[in-house]
Amino acid sequence: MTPWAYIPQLFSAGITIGAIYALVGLGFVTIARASQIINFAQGEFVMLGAMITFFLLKGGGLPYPLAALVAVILVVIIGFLLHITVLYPLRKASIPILLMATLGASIFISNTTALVFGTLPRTLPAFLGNQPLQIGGIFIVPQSLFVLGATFLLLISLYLLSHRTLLGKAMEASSTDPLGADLLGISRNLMVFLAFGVSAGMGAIAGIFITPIFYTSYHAGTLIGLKGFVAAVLGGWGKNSGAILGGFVLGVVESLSIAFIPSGYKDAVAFVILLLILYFRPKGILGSPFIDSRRW
Amino acid sequence: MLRIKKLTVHYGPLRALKEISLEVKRGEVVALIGPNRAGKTTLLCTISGILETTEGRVFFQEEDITNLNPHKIVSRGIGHVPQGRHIFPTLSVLDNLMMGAYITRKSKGEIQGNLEWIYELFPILKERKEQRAGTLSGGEQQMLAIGRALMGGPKLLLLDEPSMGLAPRFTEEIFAAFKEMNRRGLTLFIVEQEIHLSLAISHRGYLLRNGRLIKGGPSSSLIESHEVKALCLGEDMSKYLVQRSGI
Repeated sequence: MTPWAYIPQLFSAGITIGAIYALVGLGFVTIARASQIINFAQGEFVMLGAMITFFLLKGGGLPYPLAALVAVILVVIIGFLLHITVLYPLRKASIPILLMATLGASIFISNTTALVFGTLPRTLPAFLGNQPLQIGGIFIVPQSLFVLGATFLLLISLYLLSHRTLLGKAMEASSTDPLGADLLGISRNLMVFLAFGVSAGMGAIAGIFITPIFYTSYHAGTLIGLKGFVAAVLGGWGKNSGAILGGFVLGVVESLSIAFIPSGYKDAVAFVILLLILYFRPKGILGSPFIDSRRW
Repeated sequence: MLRIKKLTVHYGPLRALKEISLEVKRGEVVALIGPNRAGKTTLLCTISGILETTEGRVFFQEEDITNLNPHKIVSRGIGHVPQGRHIFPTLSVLDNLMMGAYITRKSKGEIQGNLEWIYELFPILKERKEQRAGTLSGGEQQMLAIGRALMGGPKLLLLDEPSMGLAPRFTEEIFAAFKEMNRRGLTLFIVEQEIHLSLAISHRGYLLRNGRLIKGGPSSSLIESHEVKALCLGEDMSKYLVQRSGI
């Protein structure tokens, strides 16, 4: 068989992982829009969601849905704590210092996870078994459909939060004009705090849905976090729609690359894309509100 | 209503305000005039908690509000329309207005009442309520910024250069609205570059220069004072020179 024969199959796998990159990228964008912070601990939320669910399921004996729900709540609390203990005390610091702080937090979270949960890779059971469905000539595991469904529901929820609630509009107001929002009594610190909770929750859900297909381990968050960041930059840094588009494009390109290059190099594809986009189009596919379009 | 006692503010090592003391009484319109970089915006930002004081106190309705967070100051009843408007361009006009009532916990009826009043003051905002705020003209954006501050139901409104960059038609409309707001009991503290305009609608005024209060008193006598005439002459002279040089 030629590599082209695998393209439809690889494309469908790319859509699944692309959905997860989109969610992680949205987590980056949600925090960046509220605070200009690039939270490099975003991938740790994905890893923690899966790890905590695993231990509540296996160790705690909780039913799967309850374990997942408790894990999401715990990760949201960890997101809040990350803001309160690391970023709020540094609220007057420069962006590079905040960036280093989130990198430090990422290392701290992954190493603490290794100490608490061990270093072995873990996986979660698929929601509806592992028997692949055949659609046309493509085999799809049912979990992929759950990933796409959850991504779709989260995107709708985020859209409704941003556009249909006063809280979402206050977050938008605080991100577009912090001084104007401050003068109306909309606390920027509270909005950033809430953004950390929303991002942590999205990351945890992404982790729970994707882990039955891939595995997770204490260091898995770093790579998926970086890929989510690449997705957000690729689509247009600071734009929700950019993170979604960037996530799917990255997932599909990365997956299709397996047909042409050894699969061991797959992870390098995302970083080659990052380099190319930074060289040739830093504002991303859809443009970025944070990057001056006149210069590019 | 607002009492400021010996207020000093620094930007790093630079002293922006030195021992400012002034008072705004309930129901008054008070103007603060002065040349550029006199410290007028700094004073308003210090009252509303954006900047911290080095020394001195700020009292509002006999309560010490010095260095409180901006959201606590808004909830006490002080609204602030900043220089440069600072509207939220991606939100609609109506959403911008609703943000003004975000933390004041008013009932739906009160919010609706405030909205009706704002639409009465600035009918164009009602016409454009679904439009994105970033697409409004400069004058309409200024009306929106004022309306947004009114949504919180303030007792005292701080206005920073409300006529800056506006066509005369909009300036007239906005100053007519200030008169109406004051007629309905709202106390106004206006920082304004248009000296004649601000002293014409205010009961009292203060002159600020280099971070110090030079003079204060009833607007009618202030406008006749040597210091204010010198300031006006300086402005007229600079306008004349700009016109002559064709810049």
